[in-house]
Amino acid sequence: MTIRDFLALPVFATAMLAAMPAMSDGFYEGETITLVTNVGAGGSTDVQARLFAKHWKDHIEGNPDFVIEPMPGGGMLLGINYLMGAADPDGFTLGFVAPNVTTRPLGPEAQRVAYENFEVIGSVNVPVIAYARNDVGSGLKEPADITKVGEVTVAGFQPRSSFDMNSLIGLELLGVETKYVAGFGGGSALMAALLRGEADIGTTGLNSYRVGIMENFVKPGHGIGLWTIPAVDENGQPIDDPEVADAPPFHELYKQVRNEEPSGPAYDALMYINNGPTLMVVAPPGTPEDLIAELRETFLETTTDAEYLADVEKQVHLKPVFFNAERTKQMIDRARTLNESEPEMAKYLADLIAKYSE
Amino acid sequence: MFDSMIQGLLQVLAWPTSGFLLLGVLAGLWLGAVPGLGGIIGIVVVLPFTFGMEPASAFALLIGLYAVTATSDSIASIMLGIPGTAASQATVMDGHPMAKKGEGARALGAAITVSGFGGIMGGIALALSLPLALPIILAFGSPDYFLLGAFGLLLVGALSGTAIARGLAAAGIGLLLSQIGYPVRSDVPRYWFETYYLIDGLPLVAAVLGLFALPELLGLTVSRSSISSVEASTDMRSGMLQGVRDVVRHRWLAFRCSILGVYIGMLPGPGPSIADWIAYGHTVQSAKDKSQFGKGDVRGVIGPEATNNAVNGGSLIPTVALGIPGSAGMAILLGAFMLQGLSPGPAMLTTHLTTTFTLVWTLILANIIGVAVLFLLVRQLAKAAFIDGRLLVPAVTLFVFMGSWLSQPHIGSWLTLLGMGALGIWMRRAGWPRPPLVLGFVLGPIMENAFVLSMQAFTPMELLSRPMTLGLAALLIVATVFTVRGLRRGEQVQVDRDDTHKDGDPVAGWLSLLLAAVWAGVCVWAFIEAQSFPLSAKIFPEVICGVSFVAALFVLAKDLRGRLAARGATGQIDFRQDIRTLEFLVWYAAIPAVSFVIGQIVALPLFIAAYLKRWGGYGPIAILIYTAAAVAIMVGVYQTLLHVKWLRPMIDLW
Repeated sequence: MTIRDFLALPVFATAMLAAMPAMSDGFYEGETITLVTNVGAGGSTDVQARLFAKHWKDHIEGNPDFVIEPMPGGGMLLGINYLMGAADPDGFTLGFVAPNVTTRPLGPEAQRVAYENFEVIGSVNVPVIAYARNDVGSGLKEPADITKVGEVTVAGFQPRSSFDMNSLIGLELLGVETKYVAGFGGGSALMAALLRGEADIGTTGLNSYRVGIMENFVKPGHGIGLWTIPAVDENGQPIDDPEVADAPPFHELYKQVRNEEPSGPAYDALMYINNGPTLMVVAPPGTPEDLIAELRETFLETTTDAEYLADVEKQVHLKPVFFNAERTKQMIDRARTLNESEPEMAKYLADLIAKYSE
Repeated sequence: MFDSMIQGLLQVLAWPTSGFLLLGVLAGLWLGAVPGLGGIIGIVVVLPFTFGMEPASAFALLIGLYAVTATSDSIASIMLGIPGTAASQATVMDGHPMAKKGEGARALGAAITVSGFGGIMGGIALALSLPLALPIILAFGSPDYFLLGAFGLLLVGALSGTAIARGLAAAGIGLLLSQIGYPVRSDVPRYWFETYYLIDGLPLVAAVLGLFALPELLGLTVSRSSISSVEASTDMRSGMLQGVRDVVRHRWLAFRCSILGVYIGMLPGPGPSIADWIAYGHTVQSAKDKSQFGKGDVRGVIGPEATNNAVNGGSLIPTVALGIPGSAGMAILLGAFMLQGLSPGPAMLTTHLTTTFTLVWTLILANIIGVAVLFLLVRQLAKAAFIDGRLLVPAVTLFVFMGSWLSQPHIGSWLTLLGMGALGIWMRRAGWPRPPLVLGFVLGPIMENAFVLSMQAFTPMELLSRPMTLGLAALLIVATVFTVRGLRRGEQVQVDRDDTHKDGDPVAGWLSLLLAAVWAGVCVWAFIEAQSFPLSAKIFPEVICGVSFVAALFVLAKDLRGRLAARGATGQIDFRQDIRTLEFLVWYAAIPAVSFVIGQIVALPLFIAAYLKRWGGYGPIAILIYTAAAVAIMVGVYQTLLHVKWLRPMIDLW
C-alpha cells in the first residue's frame, strides 16, 4: 500500500458508500481518461485529439473526462513507447498517435514499432495533397501542365517521409524530372520556401492544405493543388469523395496525362505509403477486453456523430476517413510483412529512399 | 480599418473578455516568475478551456498569458541568477550582479518598465507591419538565415572579451551539443548512444536551467549568505524609481532593442531564446564604457528585457499574416486558431480584421496590466535578495527540477540538468564564459538547417546573385573586422566570470587546463564519429570539431604557460570550497538516484528536508512546514494542475 493509498483510504471508503448506486452507470463514471499523443501541443494531431475526445466522452458510458497529454520527443517514439511499455493497461490511459505505420518498417531497425502488440481501437486517414507554384517553368494553369514544365524542385523533410515520397513517386510516374531539397522543419517552413521560390512542389495533409496553404498560397494566386491521394477500401479501390475537390485524385490525373490506368510497383507504392492510418487510437497491451470492446464501439459511434463531424469540418476543414480496429490491424500487418508479401514494391521503396538519401 | 480597430478594443474591454485577459495576465506573471514553467506550458494547459469560447475571449486568455511571461521572467533572472524562461537568459548577466550589490529593486524597476515598453512596441509593430509582413519575411531565404546565424555567433567575441579562446571553445561545446539527434535531412541520428531521449536532441529548458541554476544554487549553499552581499536598504521604492529613470535615460537603447526584438520575432526560427542574447551583444557593443558589463550595468538589463517582450509582437506577425509560426509558442497558438475555426493568412487582414485587432489590443493591454501588477509587488520581490540563501535553495531546486521534468517527462531531463549544471559549475570555476555555449546550442541547428538547404537549393552562382545574401555577407565581414579589432584592443569584457576567486587562482587554472584537454579529446572523438555520417550530416560536426579543437589547444597552451609560470609560487592552496562543491553535486545527483527507487514525489521533499537540516541547520518544525509545502506544490500544481507524469519507481510509495 502506498502513502497515497493510506491517506486516501477513509476518503475512498466514504466515496464508495456514496457511489454505490452509481457503479452500474459505467466503469468510467466520474473518471478521467488520459489520452497520450506523441507530438507537441497545438499541432494538427493535438487539435484532432482534443476534438475527438470532446465528443467521444459523450458516447462512453459514464461520460469520463479526457485529459490530452502531449508526449513529444524521441522521433515521435517517446509517447508510443510509453503507451507500449510503461502505461498501465487499466483503460484510463489511451493513445491518439501519429504512427507512421507505412514508413517505419522502411527505416532503421531501432526506430521500428511492433504496432501489432497494441490494443487497436480505430484509426483516421487524412488524405494527402501535392501542390505547386504556378509559375514553375512555362507556368501551370491546371495540374496536367506539370508534365510540360521540365525539371521541378521538390521541397521535403527527409527521404522516408510519406509526404516526400508522395511528391517524388507521383512526379516519377508522371514522367517529370525532379531535384529534391530536403530538410525543411515543418509544413509552414516548406510553404514559405515555395513562396520564396526556393522550391516548386510540396505535399501536405489535406487539413493543413485547407487551413494554411489554401489561404496563404493558393487563394493569393501563388500556386495550385496538383493531385490528392484518396483513401482506399478493403479491395484497394479509391474511395471517391466529392468533398475532396481541391485537386484531382492521382489516378485521374495520370489517366489524363498518360491515357491509361496507373499500375506497377511505383503506383502500388504511392497508394501504400499514403493509405496507412494517419492517426491511430490505441490502448496499452493488456488492457481488459471488455473495455476495449466498449471503446471500439464508442469510437465508431463518435465517427458518425453529426456534431463531431460538424466540429471537424469547422476546425480541421476536413471529413476524415475512419477505419475500424480490424481494418487498422490489416494495415499494420501489411506494413509489417511488406518485404515478404510484396517484395517488388518493398524493393522499389528501398531503392527510392536510397536514391534520395544523399 | 479604424472601425475594426475600435471594434477590436471594445471587444477586449467587454465582459467576459476583459476578465479572461486579467486571468491570463495573472497566470502568465506566475508562470514567467517560476523557473522552468513559462508561456508555452501555460498555453498548453489553458488551450482546452478555450473550446467553445468566443475568439476574443480565447485569445485574451492565451495571449494575455503568453505576453507577460517575458516580463515576470526577469524576476528569477535578477533575484536568483536563474533564467525565469529561456527568453531571459541574458538578463542574468547584469541583473543578478545588481541584486548581489543590493540593487535588486533598481534592476527590477528597469526590467519591468522596459519590458512593458518593449511589449507595447511589439503590439504597435504587429498592427503596423501586418500588411508589409509578406515581403519582409520572404526577403530572407535559407542562405540569409545562415548568415544571420553567423551574426549571432559573432557575439561570442562580445561576450567573451579577453577570454576569447575559452569563449570559442565554449561556443564549440554548445554547437556540438546541438548536433545530438536527427540531422537536417536524414533519419539516422548522430551522437545519440542509442538512447531515444537523445534522438530529437537535448532539450533547451533542461540545458539552460542546469547551466545557470546549479552554479547559483551552489553559490548560495557554500557562501552561507543571502543573495545580496550588502545590507538591505530600507528604501526599496527609490531603487525601483531609479530603475524607471534608467530606462528613460537609456530610452534609445530601449527603442533600438525593441525594434530588434520585433524583427527577430518576425523571422521564423531564431525566436525568443536567442533574441535576448543578440540584444545583450548589441548593448555591450554599442556602449562606450564597457567596463561594468557583467558586474551590474543596468544597460545589460534594459537591452535584453526590451527585446524579449517585443519578440512576442514580432512573432505574431508571420503567425497571423501567413500561418507561419514565428516561435514555438506561436506554433501552439496556431492550434488555437484552428480550434477557433480561423485560418491565419490574408483573411486576417480583411474578413477577420477585427479579430486581428483584438490580438493587437490584447498584447498591448496585457503588457500594461502586467507592468502595473508587478510594480505593486516589486518591493516585496526585491526583499528576496536579503533572505538567507539556504532557505531559498530547496524551493528553487524544486522548481528547477520540476521545470526541466515538465519540458520532457523523462529521467534524461534530470540527467541533462545535472550534467549541464556540473559543466556550468566547472566552466564558471575555470573562468570559461557560459553565454557562448548557449549561443552555439541555439544557433547550431538554425545555421546547419539553413546551410544544408542552401547547398541543395542553390548553385554557387545563384547564391552570388542574391542581393540580400551579398548585403548580409558584406555586413558580416564588416562586423567581424570590428569585433576582431575590438578584441585586439582589449575593448571587450568577459561578462560571465566568477569574481569570488582571486586572479591567478591555481585551482581555476588547473580546472581550465583540464577542461580544455577533455574538450580537445571530445572534439577528436566526435570528429572520428562523424566520418560515418552521410555527407550533409557530417560537414557541420567536422567544422565545429576542427575550430573548437584549435580553440581548446590555445586555451591548453595558455593555461599550461600560466601553470608553469606559477611554479614555485608560495602559498597554501585552499581546496575547502571545491570539496564542498563536490559534496553539493553528490547531493544533487542523489535526487534522480533516490527517485528511481522511491519516486520523485518522495525523493524531492526528502532532499528538501535533508538539505534544510544539513546545510541550513533548521529545526524540525521549520523543516516539516517547508517540506509539507513542497509536497503540496508537487501534488497541487504539478500533478493536478499540470498533469505531470511521474517516473515509475522501483518501490511505489505514492
